[in-house]
Amino acid sequence: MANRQVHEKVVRVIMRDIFTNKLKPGTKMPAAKELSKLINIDLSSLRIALKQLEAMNVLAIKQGDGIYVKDYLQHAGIDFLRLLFDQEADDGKGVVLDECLIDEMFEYWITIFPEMMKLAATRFTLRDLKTLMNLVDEELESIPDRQKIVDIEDRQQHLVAEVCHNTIFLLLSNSSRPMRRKMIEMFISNISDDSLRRFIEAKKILIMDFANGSITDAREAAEQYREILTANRQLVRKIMFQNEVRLAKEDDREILAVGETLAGQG
Amino acid sequence: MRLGLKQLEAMGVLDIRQGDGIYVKDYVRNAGLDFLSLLLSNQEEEQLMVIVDEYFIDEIWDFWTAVFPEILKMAAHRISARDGQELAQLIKEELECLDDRQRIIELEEAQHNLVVEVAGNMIFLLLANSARPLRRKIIEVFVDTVDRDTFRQFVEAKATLLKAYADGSLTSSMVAADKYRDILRLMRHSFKAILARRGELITGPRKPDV
Repeated sequence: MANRQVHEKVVRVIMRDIFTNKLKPGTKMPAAKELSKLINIDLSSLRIALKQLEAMNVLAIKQGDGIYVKDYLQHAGIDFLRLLFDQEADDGKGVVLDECLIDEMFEYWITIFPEMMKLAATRFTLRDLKTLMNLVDEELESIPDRQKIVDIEDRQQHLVAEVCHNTIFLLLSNSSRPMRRKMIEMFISNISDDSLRRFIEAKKILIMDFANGSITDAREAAEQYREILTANRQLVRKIMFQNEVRLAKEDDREILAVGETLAGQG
Repeated sequence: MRLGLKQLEAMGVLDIRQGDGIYVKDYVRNAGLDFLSLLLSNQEEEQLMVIVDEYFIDEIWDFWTAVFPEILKMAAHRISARDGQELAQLIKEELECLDDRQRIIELEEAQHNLVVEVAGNMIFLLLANSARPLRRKIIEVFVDTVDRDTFRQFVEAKATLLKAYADGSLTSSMVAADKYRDILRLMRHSFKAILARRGELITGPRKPDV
């Protein structure tokens, strides 16, 4: 019987190696039996891991030929990133975050989220607004507790996705959750309590203006929020480059990186 | 079987509890977009018709109309003359192939893919991969529903928009993206109107899950 934890670890390591280009597209990996000996994993767990990676479209398993690494940019879906970021959240090591990826995350969110807000604004009820307002108030009361802030921000964003009443946006919100949480952490861990308070209060004013009719155009409200997110992105960028925040994590040495193992084979 | 169950567990739709059993999870709360992608990619046509009803098609339109113009806006900031030329060529070819359904679908997909590549954001690249079966489905359904003239008008509208942006008559990427959004909305509206006229659009409650 396969050890559940082991096959998940193998998936994580191979995914990370593909993402960081240690395993390049087109690389032919050793056959499963050989690979299991190389990385010291039972064959059953390895097969589960390889099938999972094949389902994620980052490996091609060709019967009678071999196992090939695919170009994840061409083939993988957004849940590939979800799993990578889940690793980071679970064990704090394993995903190499660089400034470019963080900035891309912000760019992605600044693009998508205000559009979700516009859609949600045509479908919300007063109760939805009240729930959102309560979450913002809870956030204001929790400023010193940064972990709680991350949780509340996540819930607010997911509430907007729910109010959209669109299955695709809901699943996309699930897919992007670990990435969004990382972005929120990056932002709030680098600002003072006062700055965080100002950010939350800006959101509150926007919601109140929309609720009381001062802003009637959902597009206008969403674009104002886009400006807030853009300012957050600029702040994080400035901090990343000015302070040269070290974001790269040490490789997980519990299981030797598959890419390194294969490189060592020559 | 075990491999299949493990994959479903990894996708967040099953919960396998050792010594207890296998439980179905709420996919709306737990699954990601790749769940939908896999669902649409792996079904027989007959089964697909049950899953992909007009409500689901409309949700895809809703999503694509919201998201794609924003990706277009991003691409408009980064587009090179060569990219513009390549896009124009794809649209030109589309106009020459109006009777070739399969080719039209390929060209539409190629245009989307080019825009996403030009946007230059890895996350959108992966999102476009995830959304590929979804966007293919709305293209297929649209092409199969509207008549040739209507489809030609939409392609010409795209060509006009691209030309205006390329020659500088339209300088704002925001305006260009909004105009494209209008095109998508019109496409969606045309599709729904035709279905309604045919009596194929169900205005009552959604069909029960199979």
